Amino acid sequence: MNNLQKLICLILFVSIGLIACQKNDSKQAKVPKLVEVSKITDANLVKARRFTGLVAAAKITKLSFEEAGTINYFPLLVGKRVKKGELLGKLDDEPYLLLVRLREQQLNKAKAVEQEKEITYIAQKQMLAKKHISKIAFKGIESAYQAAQQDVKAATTQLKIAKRSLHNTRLFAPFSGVIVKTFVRKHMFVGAGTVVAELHGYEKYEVSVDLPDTYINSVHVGDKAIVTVFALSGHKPISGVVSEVGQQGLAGLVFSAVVSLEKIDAPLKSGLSAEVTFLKSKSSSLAHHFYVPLSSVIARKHDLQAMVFVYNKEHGVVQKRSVTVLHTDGKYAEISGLKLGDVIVVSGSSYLTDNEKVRVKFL
Amino acid sequence: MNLTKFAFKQSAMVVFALLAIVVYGLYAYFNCPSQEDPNILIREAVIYTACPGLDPQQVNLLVTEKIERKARELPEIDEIYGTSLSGASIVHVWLKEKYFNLRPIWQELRSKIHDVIPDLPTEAYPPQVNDSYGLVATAVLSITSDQNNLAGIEKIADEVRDGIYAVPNTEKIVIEGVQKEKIYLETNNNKLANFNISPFILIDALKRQNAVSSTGILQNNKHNIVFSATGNFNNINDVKNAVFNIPGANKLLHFSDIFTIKRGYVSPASNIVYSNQKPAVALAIYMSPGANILKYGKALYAKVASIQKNLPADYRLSFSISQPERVAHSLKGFQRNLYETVAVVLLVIILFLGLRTGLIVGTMVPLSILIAVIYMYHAGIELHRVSIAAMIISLGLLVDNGIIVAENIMFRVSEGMDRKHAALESGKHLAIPLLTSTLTTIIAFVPLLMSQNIVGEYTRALAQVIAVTLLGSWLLSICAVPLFCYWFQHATANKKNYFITHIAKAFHNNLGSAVKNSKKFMLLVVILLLSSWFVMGMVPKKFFPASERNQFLINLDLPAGYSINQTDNTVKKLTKWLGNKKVNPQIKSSISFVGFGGIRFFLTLSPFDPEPHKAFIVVNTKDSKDALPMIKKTENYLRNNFVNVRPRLKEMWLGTTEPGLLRIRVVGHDYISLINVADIIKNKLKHISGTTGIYDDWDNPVYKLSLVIDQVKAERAGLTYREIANTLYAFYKGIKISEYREHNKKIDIVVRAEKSEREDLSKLPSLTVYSDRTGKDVPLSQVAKFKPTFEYSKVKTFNLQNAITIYGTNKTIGTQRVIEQLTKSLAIPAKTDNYEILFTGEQKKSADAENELFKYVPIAIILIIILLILQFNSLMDTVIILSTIPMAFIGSFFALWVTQVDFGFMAVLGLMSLAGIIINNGIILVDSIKEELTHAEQKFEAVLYASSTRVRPIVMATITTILGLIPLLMFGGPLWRSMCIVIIFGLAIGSLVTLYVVPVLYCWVHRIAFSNR
Repeated sequence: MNNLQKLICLILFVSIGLIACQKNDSKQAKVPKLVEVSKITDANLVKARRFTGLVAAAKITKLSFEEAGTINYFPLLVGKRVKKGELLGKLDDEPYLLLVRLREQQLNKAKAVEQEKEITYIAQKQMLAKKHISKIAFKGIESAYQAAQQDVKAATTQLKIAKRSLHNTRLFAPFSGVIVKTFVRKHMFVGAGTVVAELHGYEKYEVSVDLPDTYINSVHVGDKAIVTVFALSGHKPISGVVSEVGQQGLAGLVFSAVVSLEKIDAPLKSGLSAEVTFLKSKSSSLAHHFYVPLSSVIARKHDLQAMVFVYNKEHGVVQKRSVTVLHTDGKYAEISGLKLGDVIVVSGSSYLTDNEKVRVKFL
Repeated sequence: MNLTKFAFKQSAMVVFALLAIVVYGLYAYFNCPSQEDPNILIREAVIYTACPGLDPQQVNLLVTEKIERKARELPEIDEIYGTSLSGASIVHVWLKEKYFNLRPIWQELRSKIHDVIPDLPTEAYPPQVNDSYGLVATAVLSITSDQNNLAGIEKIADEVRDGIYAVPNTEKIVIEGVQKEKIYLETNNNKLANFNISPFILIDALKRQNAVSSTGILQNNKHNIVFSATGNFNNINDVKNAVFNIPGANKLLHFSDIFTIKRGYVSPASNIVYSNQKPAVALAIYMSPGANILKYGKALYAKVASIQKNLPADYRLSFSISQPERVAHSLKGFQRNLYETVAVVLLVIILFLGLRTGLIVGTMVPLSILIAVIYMYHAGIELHRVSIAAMIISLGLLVDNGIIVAENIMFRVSEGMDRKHAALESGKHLAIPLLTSTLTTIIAFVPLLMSQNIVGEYTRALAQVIAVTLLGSWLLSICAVPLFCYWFQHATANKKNYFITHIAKAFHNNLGSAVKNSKKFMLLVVILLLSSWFVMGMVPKKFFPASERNQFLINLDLPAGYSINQTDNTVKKLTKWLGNKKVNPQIKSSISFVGFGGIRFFLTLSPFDPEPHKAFIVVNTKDSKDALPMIKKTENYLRNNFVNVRPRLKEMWLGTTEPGLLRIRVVGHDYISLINVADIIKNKLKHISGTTGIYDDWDNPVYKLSLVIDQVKAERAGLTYREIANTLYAFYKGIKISEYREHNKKIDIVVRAEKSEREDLSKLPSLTVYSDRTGKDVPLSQVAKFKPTFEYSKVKTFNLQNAITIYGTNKTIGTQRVIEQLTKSLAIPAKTDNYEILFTGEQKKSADAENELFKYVPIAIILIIILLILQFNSLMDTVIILSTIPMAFIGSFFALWVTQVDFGFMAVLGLMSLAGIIINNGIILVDSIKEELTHAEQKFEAVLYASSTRVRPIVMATITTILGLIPLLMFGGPLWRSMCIVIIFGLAIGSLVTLYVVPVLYCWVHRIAFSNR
């Protein structure tokens, strides 16, 4: 029996020893998660808000002849730059020339009649003095003379009008600019006041922007702004000044504002879309808004409220902080609810829990 | 009929039969189809419905719910899992495990789903039912190019696929990782606005110009002349030069005036594959079921090698995953285990029984196994982990029969009987008790045969093989052993073994005192029994152990909402590190799947549903021992270098369920309650020791920019919701407007915004939408407001209710205990009106399997009782024998507790086989006592004597089995560890205890008093 006992014990112990050696210790010390953090500094402050607007020339006019007529000179093409006073078009002026001549003849005739009436008047006046004629008869002669005088005046005015009409068969540039549209061609008959072309001044441009009601009070006349025109990718942004701020909301709770552009050296055109960045001072209402990477903003699971994890250096843990997301461009989010000096988790937030210990890597 | 007598009469036939078994058995062994694991039917189908433009909530309400409801109408369906993503609905349906003929069920499902189409929203495409989701790829072949030429790879992939189809038994090949080429027409919104033209007018213009050639035939008396009209695009320049008319302006413009036209790959990419670090296309190759994988593998390798020779020099074919190689490797291992065990058993038998008797009994071992192999060959059971396990388990059982018969003959000869008579008598007397004991053992495995579930499928072969092996061994022991003993055994063979004789003597002396102090003795046994059950409670439970594959898996989850590009960069960085030979010389290769779950290459590993922020990597190490250290190293690397990644690294596993997997599902209709409960559970889980990788499947809420359209303003501006939605979709996502044909390839022509606009949300307010009614472009900001919010990127459902599933892993204390601790610490009820907590995962699967198994245990017990009553014609003797079963477990439980080896399915099998062996001992012991009592005057002495004569064979068989299993325990790998421990220690203690308990109980029950001799 002793032998058996020894054998069994031997087998037992050897086997147990062998198995025990094979058993892996799968317990692992928990290493805190590594996260990337960033400190909220001045650089994160939202100093500017961007909006899109449309470029428009400050001076815009629709050109038309004041007279009707057939155009016999019209050198305008879209894009043509013109100077102030430059002849832009002529109507066939013959009818107007004839009219001037007619008016001249009518004036001459009136003058002749006036002369005749004047002579009669002078003669009759002398006769009245000598009491050769009655006062009543003289009054009639005097009235006829005055009527002749008025006729001369009227004929003179008619002539002037005819001359002016003749002059108006020519269209001159009211200011320097660029032709952006033409509506007529040579030999076309146009009525008075028919728009024949559109002229935009090229010296001054402005950008009109629609601002949301939440922002309108942050913009004031005189504020600086930077305008980037999408189409002019090779050109520098243009600086501008807010020149008008809408005082009445338009439909959809937007207010219009106008930014006048300064020192334009780019080939701007009306209708180009532009991005307007309103530069703000620290004291503005956006002082507590920060731009943070979008990846740092996550949502609480049960109510989907936005939050960020703020790193508590003292305890080496992260803590939830509710924030409000105001705006995003897909990479950064403008949020409120943080303060300068906060250290927030910018990468790795999704897998954290409140008060979890972390290892941090500053960005 | 006396079989032994018959064998003696027909000895030539017996010899012939044995030779036939050897020859045919070996033939069957070398020709039997083989695989790594038994086939399990994956009863899962996936219904995919694309519904672009709908958000997850809408998808859930309008699509997923309707499909789920319809699917639910099928009574065969067990579980339905729905996932509603932005623009897609994915529904997984699982059938009950009792169904095996799936084809008609899937057909029924298809027609049900077809019926639901009219109820789906107009945005939804017809649902696609994929019922081949459960197929396992035999191999995954990667095609890479040194120049990273993806278009080239795609073309080569088609050729390679056609080539591989020529390999016989290739069922199906699926190509993954192809990035579709597209022709992109990109423009910016300002340009379109300047022309004041609707993009849809341009699209129509392009469509009209890309008309498919229409053909006709001109017929005259002599000839048929085919004519065709050209019009479609033949190259990219045709697209560039296509013209369109600006409405109202009567001007013709080229498309290239408005669009930048370029050819490229689909962006964002989807289903990206990397082989090592190189962009690749993966061919998932599926072999026909029932084919011999080793032969198929050889043919496949040869074919691939020949294809490689004919490929342009810069294209490489490599097997990223290869089952044939794995099967060959593991079979080699299993077979080595089998050979070693057979060799050790033979050696021990010879040691105990002497050379001649040892050889006689030992020969029966391989012969019984060959009988089983012949059965397997004809019954369609492959050589695999489980069938080979069955052979190894049966080794311990089948030696019993031979040893008992041989020993009985030796004993009778030593008592003076002549050899022939002794052989005939032994055969005659032992045939029925041995048959009874063999049948009881077989019946012990009946629950495995009958259980109608996935685990039953996995282990069914085990019960069959054990039954055939044991019956074979019984037949051989009754027919061949007596004959051989008569021919070859020495008359004095039994005197050689002093060791056993000493044991028998010592036992004889001790048994007397045990019977004398029977009450104390039984009390001791009961105490031992109770304490063993007590310590069993502290044994960790793991259903199946981890596998020893030279592979490990990496799941990378980025936060939801991250783009596939980000996931792609993460995978690139990780695989670059993994592939660095200086840092990680242990890594052989890797295959990565970005944005989708890849290919099912392992039966119980279901690929996850496609999501851009997820990736899956399979890493092959040079040796299976490298896998675990590499997992730890990779985990460390990930922890220190990736901030935004939640990695889950896993070893491969055996059996049907991932070991240590916790899956807790919270279901209900109110999702806020679910989220709150899930949070509580996650918090509690964190504090349970050893629980790692806790997450839930709803992921994090994602950022969403809500476009609140002011209907009044939109109406005033002449815009409709559809116009706005279409413009936004075209702008950011792009819309297909036509296609361009090149050889056999169709390339979509897609219009979208240029990159700078597409990727900058700040441009959104200035985006203009063309109003068809007014013919004007309206800035979006005029009609809509933008509201930044968050929402969940998906809605998950389980059986038609919202469901959040919490995952985790615990490999230290086992999932069962985690669930126990969790339920104890949860301060909330497991079920309320708002939610219900369901514990699924490994512990559920194992509980289900055990329940299914235990359902048939009563049947097995009744059958055993019937057999025992038939054998002994005594209820009390049956009770005595059955009472030995718990004794078997004493040693097993203590050993499991001491070694802290996980108690799992293989341990249960060990217990079952142990019970079989111990019952055998009991049967033989009781039978022997009864026989001795029939002609004994001194009853007590007769019990003592009969018991002592049984000590020899029992101890011999026990030691043989124990020693036979030791190599398996030491070198057989994790699968066998718990089973070996259970059998070795259970048998050692159990045999010893039953040797005493049976006679003691017998004396007690039959009132045989102790007498001092």
